Amino acid sequence: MSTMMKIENLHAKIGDKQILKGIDLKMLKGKVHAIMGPNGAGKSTLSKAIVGHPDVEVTEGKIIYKGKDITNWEPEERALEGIFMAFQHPVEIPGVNNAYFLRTALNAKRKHLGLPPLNAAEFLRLLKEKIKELGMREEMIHRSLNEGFSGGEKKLNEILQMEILEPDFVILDEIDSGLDIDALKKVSEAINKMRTPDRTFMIITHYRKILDYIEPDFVHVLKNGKVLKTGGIEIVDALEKEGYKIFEEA
Amino acid sequence: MRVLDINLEEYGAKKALVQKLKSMGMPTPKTEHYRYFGIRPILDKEYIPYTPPIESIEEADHIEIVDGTVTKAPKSIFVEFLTNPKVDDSHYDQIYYINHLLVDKTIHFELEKDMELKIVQKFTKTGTFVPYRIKISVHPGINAKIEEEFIVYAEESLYFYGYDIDLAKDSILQLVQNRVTGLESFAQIASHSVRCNKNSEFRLFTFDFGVAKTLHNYHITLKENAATNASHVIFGKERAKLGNTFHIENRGKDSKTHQISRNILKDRARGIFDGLLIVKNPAKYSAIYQDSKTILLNDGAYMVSKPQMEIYTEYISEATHGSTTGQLDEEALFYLRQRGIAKEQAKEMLVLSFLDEIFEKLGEEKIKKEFIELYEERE
Amino acid sequence: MGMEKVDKIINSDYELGFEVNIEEEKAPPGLSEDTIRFISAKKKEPQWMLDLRLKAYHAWLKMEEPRWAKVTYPPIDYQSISYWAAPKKALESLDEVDPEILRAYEKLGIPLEEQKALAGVAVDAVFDSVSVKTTFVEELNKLGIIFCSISEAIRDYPELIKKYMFSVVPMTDNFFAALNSAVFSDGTFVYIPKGVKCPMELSTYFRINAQNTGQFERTLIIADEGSYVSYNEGCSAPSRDENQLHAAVVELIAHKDAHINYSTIQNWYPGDAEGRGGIYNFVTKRGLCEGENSKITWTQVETGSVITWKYPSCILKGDNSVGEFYSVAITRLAQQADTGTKMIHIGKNTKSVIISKGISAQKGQNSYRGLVKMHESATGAKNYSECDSLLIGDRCGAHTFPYLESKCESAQIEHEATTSKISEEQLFYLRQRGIKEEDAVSMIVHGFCKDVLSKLPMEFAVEAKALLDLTLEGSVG
Repeated sequence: MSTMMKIENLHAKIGDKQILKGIDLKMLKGKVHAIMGPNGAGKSTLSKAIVGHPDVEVTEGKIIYKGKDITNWEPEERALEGIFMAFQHPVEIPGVNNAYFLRTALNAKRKHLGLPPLNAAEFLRLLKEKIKELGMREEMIHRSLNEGFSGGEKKLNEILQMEILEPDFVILDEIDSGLDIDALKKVSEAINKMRTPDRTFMIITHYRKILDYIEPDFVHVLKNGKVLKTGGIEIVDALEKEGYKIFEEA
Repeated sequence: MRVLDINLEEYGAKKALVQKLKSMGMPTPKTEHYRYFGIRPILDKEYIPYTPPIESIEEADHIEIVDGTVTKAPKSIFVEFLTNPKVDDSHYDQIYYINHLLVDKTIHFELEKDMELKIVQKFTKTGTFVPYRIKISVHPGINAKIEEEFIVYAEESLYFYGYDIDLAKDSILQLVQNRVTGLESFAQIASHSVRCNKNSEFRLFTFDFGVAKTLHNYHITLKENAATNASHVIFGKERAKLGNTFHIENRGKDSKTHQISRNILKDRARGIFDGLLIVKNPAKYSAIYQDSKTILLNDGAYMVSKPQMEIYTEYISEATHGSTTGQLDEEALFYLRQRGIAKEQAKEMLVLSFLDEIFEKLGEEKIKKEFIELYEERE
Repeated sequence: MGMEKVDKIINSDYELGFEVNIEEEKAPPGLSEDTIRFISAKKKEPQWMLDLRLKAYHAWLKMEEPRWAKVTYPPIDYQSISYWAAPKKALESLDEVDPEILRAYEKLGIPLEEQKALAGVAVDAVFDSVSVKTTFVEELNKLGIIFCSISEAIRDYPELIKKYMFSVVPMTDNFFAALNSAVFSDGTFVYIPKGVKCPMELSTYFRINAQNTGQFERTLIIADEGSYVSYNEGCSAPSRDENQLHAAVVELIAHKDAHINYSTIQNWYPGDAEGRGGIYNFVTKRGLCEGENSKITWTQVETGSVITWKYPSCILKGDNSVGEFYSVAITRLAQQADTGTKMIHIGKNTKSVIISKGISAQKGQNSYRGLVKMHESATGAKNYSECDSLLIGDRCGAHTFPYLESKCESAQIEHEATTSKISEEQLFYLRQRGIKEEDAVSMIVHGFCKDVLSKLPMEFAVEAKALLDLTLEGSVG
């Protein structure tokens, strides 16, 4: 089975605080990897390190993606190579039209792949189709990016972007936070549809609930900036019962 | 004498002040912070000059200052008179320097422990020009409250005064200035300078209620992590000209300025709010906020609002200001009247709700009551 | 405007900074009664116009250069400036236009030939100080619209000029307006008759070319009852080492039910990183909403000049009249802009809207200065202002100086302002979606300016957007 991403001995800090203290992690093509762990374990920092967030400084170790060392790549280079993060709190950008933004992003990607850009009409056709599938309101595409969206709408908008940009490696950063059960179902369904033998998902979550809808192939437990335990869904059951401490001696 | 006739050459001993004044020139109607005040006739008028004498101080539970002379003070306060006080070298107001030039003995209060203090100022001279200055030093870590109150009998007079306030590290000073002026011919220009050292906090509440011509100019500077909260209420009647101008400079990192201005004008009264908030380049992560609201109770009442910002760094946590001018909310007025409240009372309720934010912050009923009395006073 | 042109505009540091050699007829530097007589004679003006110019000149002599704006620059030596320059030959048709001038326009991306075809835009091209060519005039004539140079108007329509010139901006209004009134070289005159809706955008491209020659344009637009006109003004100038003074005056008059739309793109040479060589831009623009229900809209995109001093204003005299001001001002390098508007409410139920977006980068200093004044008579009047500033980099400054005056109980003023930087979060979000940092900044800036850019006429908006990108290039990071 081929490796999509390999993280080797990753140390990283935010400001003066050392948060990742030697993460080793292998994520496989076509698989769903769930990352769990208590608050402060380094889950979000890990995802930020993968997408190249400027707050995170990698002090040691490597991130190998599709065989390439991307540790020091610019965020947009990683994005164009297929890394996509659905943000926990998508930012609002006033005045930037949702559709316009997404077309720019898509055409940047198409250019990267050597494809001709889509014109406005072609793009709109694609967009409308996806919107219908997701059951979003059409007027949302003409609004400013994430501005005035409800929590659920923002998350759906992230999924919409994912569908349009067709990434190879998807990070879902607490996609379940702030969603009611219906919205969670809807989002999960959309994600399950995106599961293919070529696409890898990394799901960061606190809760078991979402893993009932999106079944993970692997579960990794993080604590204190290290991977404490790797296994299958059975880990989640153990966690439910005993809490994180059961892995401490492992 | 006339203020415009002051001859700088006669003050050779105060070289630095003279030089500063020469570079700034005398205030004119075009001087930005006097633009709407009508400074010319005041400076051009003939007054009897008066130098407040130093007299023995009677012990009392408050400080009393009569025409610039300290007559009463509590024992717990250290009072002295300074011949060469340190002067703010970057004040924007010419009259700050003129005032210092004319005053040889600056009153100095040292606040060495936590306290609540009342200062009563009496203005009694007629046709007279009275200049004096007060310096207040708040020692490190001290938490003090001062309430200043005005009693005005002085007709056709001009008073120059002002505070030079030094807040040492970690100190807090709340200054409430309750300025009620019942005489139309009373004129006052006060120029204050407040230096807030590291981690100190200056809370200023000013209330200008009345019919006189007064302008207060505040230069406030903030060092690292210092904060100021400057709120004012102007309630002007008849032919009053009541104004407050500010230059508040955030000079140190993480400093904060919060300013609320509420103005109510009736008759032909004029209100002036000119507040310039400055964030200097070193003052990264500072926050400034300014909110000015005005209600005109009739046509011909006049408000000038200048909520202004100058910002020299991109690293700011917050920089917003807003200003509205209008009348009492007609919908709200109707709602209250529909519920059976008389029009005048409904109006009063709305005016009070308009001032609520400031009264609430101050947490003092007394000034609110005073305001209601003044508001209800009808000819 | 085609994509090619947009590309052309984008791909350069200051693409418009070239210089064209044309033989010029130039007045010797200096300003005196003789200079004014010379200008007036050159233009074959009637005696009454000369008299007015001289009157303005004598008033100017007694005035002082204003210094209240938040801009600093070395003193201007008014005697070292030449107040008149013109191409030697008078030109009758396009064929006669100096090929060098045509090449200049081509370099600017606005060849005259193409402009005729361009979406019905009539162009009165001003090269230096004399109108070189006026097109579409005949078509406009059929509707009774007068669209000509101000010199022609002085000769051909003296009654209109006598009635309206100086009626909105009096010749002694301010130092620079007085100077302009004495020495104005040329400019545009527009008259729209009663009930006529001008069917095309009227445009004028101004260029400053002659070395050491001040540009003193004068524009007068009159919209008679129930008429409509949209006027676009766009500028660029060659790069130079000496500061060039520009003191234009624009007067607009909107009668009952008339609407004037005045859009400007200003892209004169901004000087180098130290501010050397940039244009000094001291402009007086004012519109009078004379009649009931009249409306004047100012829209401006200001990216050029080293010093900008400009406050397009509206006097809302007619009841229910409306004044609007939409502005984007960018200062970078060592540019300083002190710009804003004045909304003077006199009539009942008058309304004004002010949307100002200031962007500062590098060492740029950007000030919004605006006056809203409610007279006692302006019952039911309303104003809404929104002034936002964006800072890019840590050596620039953004300043907001509103003046809000009210004497009318029932009038409402509402003013809001914020200052912020481009947020790291926004930038990162866009980059995570694969958008280059530069493009992400551009996207956020365009979003920031959207409310203003959307007010520009279509063609102009495309140009303004391209200019925004060009201006920001290299200013970020």
